[in-house]
Amino acid sequence: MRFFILLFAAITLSAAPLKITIGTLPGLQYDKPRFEAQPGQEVVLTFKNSDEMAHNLAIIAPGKRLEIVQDAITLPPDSNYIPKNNAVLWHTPVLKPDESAELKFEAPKAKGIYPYVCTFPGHGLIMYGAMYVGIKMPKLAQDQNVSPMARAQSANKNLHAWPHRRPLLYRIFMPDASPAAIAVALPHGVSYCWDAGTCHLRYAWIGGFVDPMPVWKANGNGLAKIIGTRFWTGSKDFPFHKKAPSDFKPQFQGYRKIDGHPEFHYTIGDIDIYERITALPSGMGLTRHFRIPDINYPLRITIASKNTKVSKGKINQGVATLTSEEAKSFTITHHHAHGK
Amino acid sequence: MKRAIFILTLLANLSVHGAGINDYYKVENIPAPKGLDVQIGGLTFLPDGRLAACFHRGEVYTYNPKTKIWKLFADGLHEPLGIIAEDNHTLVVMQRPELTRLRDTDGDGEADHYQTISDQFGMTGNYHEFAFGPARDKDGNYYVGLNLASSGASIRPEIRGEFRHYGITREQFYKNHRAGSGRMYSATPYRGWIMKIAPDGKTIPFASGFRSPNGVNFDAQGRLWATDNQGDWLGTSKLFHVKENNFHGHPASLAWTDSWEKGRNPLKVSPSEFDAKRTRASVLFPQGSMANSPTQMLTDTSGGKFGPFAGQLLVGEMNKPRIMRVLVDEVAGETQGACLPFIDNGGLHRGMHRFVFAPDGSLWVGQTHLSWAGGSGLQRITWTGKTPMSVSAMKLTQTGFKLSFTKPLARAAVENFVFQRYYYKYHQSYGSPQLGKEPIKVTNLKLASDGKSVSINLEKLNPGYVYQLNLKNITAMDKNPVLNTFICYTLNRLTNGDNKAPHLTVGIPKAKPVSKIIVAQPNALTQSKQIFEAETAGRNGARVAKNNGGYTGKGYIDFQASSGEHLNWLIQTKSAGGHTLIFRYALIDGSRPLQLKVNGKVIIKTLPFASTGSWTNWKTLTTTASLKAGVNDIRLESTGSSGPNIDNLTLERN
Repeated sequence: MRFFILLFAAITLSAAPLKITIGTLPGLQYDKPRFEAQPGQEVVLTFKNSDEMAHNLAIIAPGKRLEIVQDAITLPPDSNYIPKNNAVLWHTPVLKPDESAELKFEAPKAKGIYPYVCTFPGHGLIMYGAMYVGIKMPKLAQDQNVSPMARAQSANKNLHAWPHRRPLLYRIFMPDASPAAIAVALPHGVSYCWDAGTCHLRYAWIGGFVDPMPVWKANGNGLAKIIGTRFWTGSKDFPFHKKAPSDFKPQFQGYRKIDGHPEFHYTIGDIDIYERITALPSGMGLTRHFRIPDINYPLRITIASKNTKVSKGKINQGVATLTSEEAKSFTITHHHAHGK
Repeated sequence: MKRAIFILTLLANLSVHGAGINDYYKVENIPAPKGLDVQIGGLTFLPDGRLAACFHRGEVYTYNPKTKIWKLFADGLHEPLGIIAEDNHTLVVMQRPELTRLRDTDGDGEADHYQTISDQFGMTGNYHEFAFGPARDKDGNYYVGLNLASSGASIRPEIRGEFRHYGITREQFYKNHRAGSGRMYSATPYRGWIMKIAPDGKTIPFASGFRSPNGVNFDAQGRLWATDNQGDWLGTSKLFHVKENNFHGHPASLAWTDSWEKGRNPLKVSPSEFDAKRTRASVLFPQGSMANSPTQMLTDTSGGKFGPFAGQLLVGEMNKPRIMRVLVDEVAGETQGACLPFIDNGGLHRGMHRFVFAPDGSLWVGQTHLSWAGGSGLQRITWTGKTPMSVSAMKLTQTGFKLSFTKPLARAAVENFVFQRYYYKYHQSYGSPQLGKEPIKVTNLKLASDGKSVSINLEKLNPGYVYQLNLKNITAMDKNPVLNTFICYTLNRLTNGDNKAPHLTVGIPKAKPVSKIIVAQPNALTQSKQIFEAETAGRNGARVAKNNGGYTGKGYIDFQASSGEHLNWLIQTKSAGGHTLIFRYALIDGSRPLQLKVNGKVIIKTLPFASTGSWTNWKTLTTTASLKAGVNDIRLESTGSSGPNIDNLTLERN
């Protein structure tokens, strides 16, 4: 047995070039959470962007990922979002969907864990992995150097008898919502928490979905853990009103699935409201599609955040007012701050 | 795997002796889709013969017993714990937040409309607020059971529904959720109630006084029943005949009745006041021997296809591989009766949670555990056609009981029928020992001419007792021994209607003394490994208790509040250096971390005391700390969680 191990080690030390291909997954993920290279080994890394939005891949000096990601946020698009900083060792340009690029380099002589990350604004907090140079990799489920989504997926391989899919809906205990919360994963890496107790959207995030195991592992005593970065948080109170805030008492009625997306149904008195939420194809926000077929009075909506657009009506001092005609069908879009 | 082999061996042995349960009932495992956590919350059969089941992680599947094909019908539900089919395309499910109708409107076999029938009740986010049911009456109304919150946990910052808790404000409650009660609580409507929900969603509170009403169901006569679980106010687990507007014994739910004075704390009320109001359970399941956690109640509607017990009630048990039978006896216009083990082991899993009869008369059973003592899986039980020798009825007479058997007895003598009686106290404490326990003499006995029933006269017959009968050496004419050898009859009422049982309650417990700081006295570490009891250590708020056995020394320490309390040892060591600290503790469920400080410095912010499964199951938690030479202060503090019961600290020099 020992003989074979020695033989194997000898072969790797002879340091044939390491050829590696990294692709992308929906939800701001590289398809390889990490890989190993020998110090000084020649590496040929092909990055294929198979996602529906733009990404790059930059290899960074150990411990410098967050610094680079932060610096990249304020850069103009023609910079490829690569800051002028020695900590960026190698990088591809920003690739559009279905483009690919190749990086050829000699792995550092210094042993270490070198992060690779997408520096496109908003992505780098969750879209990253690790190149291990001369250091043994820990178990993936415990590896703090890979993205939380990769870690969680490794820890919970079989959450259901069917593969992970989006859209996906869980009614589950969620942070910062009533106990009757609903978590929904949309395509393009967007997820949101809609509260069936209060009948409105509470917050949204990009990245992975949730780790439900804190709730599922035992008797329900726990909260699902959000995987990703929150980009929008709504008010605690129901945002629609007629005259003054909170003059509506909405009642949840359930939802229908339309192409897998829930269309929530709730009522205010005898007025039915339908709300369906879709992700922006860029993954940088979501759109809420409202139908209120029988409304016969103007509708006021408290707008909680700057990165919000209402398709109809007039906005004055943080309150959108829609005529009863406009209120029959309209959308509200919430953008990621860096996503416009 | 080892366990499966063991069971098979056991079965082989039993069949050699000719009286194994599998001679009468076969248990078969039904394979479930790979990757599914097969913890079953509900089972029902569709009119077309398919089974529908809901699962812990929110899935609903259908299963065709002919083709053995599973199909996902719905997903994303929040802990569904009951399911009923309205038709081949419509299922009604009780999940934590609501009663939901799942409709497949386009006929593709998957639900596309999740319609809220009713969410007209509060939820605080406390994990123990399970929602059970639904049962359906002949008019199509649904009945659901809403659990109380656990005193072992608090409520969420945001809740659904009104907050009310015996005059305590929400802010005070967040500081110490045990301040108001220290027992299971109902801080939002209508926890502890069974609700009636009309098909159009109109929801009314139907009956109060429940703690954990898991098995809500109707019998063939249209009577509504619910099981409830041993705990505070329940000396042992019970089966209630649920009556509209009645109070069934756990007072937390009374906060949501019009007549309950706001701010009044039921723990400061004499239990005899509640005793006078309450509807007593029809059947008590003695804790330990019969059941620790009864689940669903189901009437045997097989019409004889499932053996000789058609019309009787079946009740599941979580902690043992057991299904019980309940023999209902109508006495002076009220139901009471007996329970006995029915199917024990024989390949059954533990965690018997839900069951349903298939059209062919086989019984489909689903298991769960939710991290408690239970199991998982789906099984099918079929009757082999052989009649077991067993008790088929137990009726109260003026002078004793009349017992009927499935087959003629070979003989019946006084020594074959060993009676004892005991009672359970009705009080706010958790559970009750068996009190007033005494053997009861059989004074006379008469075997009927067909040999199938025995009339027994007893020396004492009084209301308020469980009469337990152990059958000794009873065999049928055909030489088959009796299958299940003990049976427990709950005697609420004599045949003349007398139901006075003043011994069941006690007065108001003495007011708790105001907590005072007990200053620790230094003890020297003189051995390489030494035990320091908790009950002789210093403390503030936490109290010495001894009601849960298995502790060392003279007792253990019971933390009262989730913050501001401490337990500390002053231990003198000769030399400085690393030491191993081993805390012995017990915790029934959940986790209750404490902060560990040594000499005023926080060593571990949340020392993770995890559940040991019961208050009498003591385990150890080991950590290390560096101690100085001289007197060291080793301190456990509650900072958000009230902590487990702490028995002792073992200190070992590294």
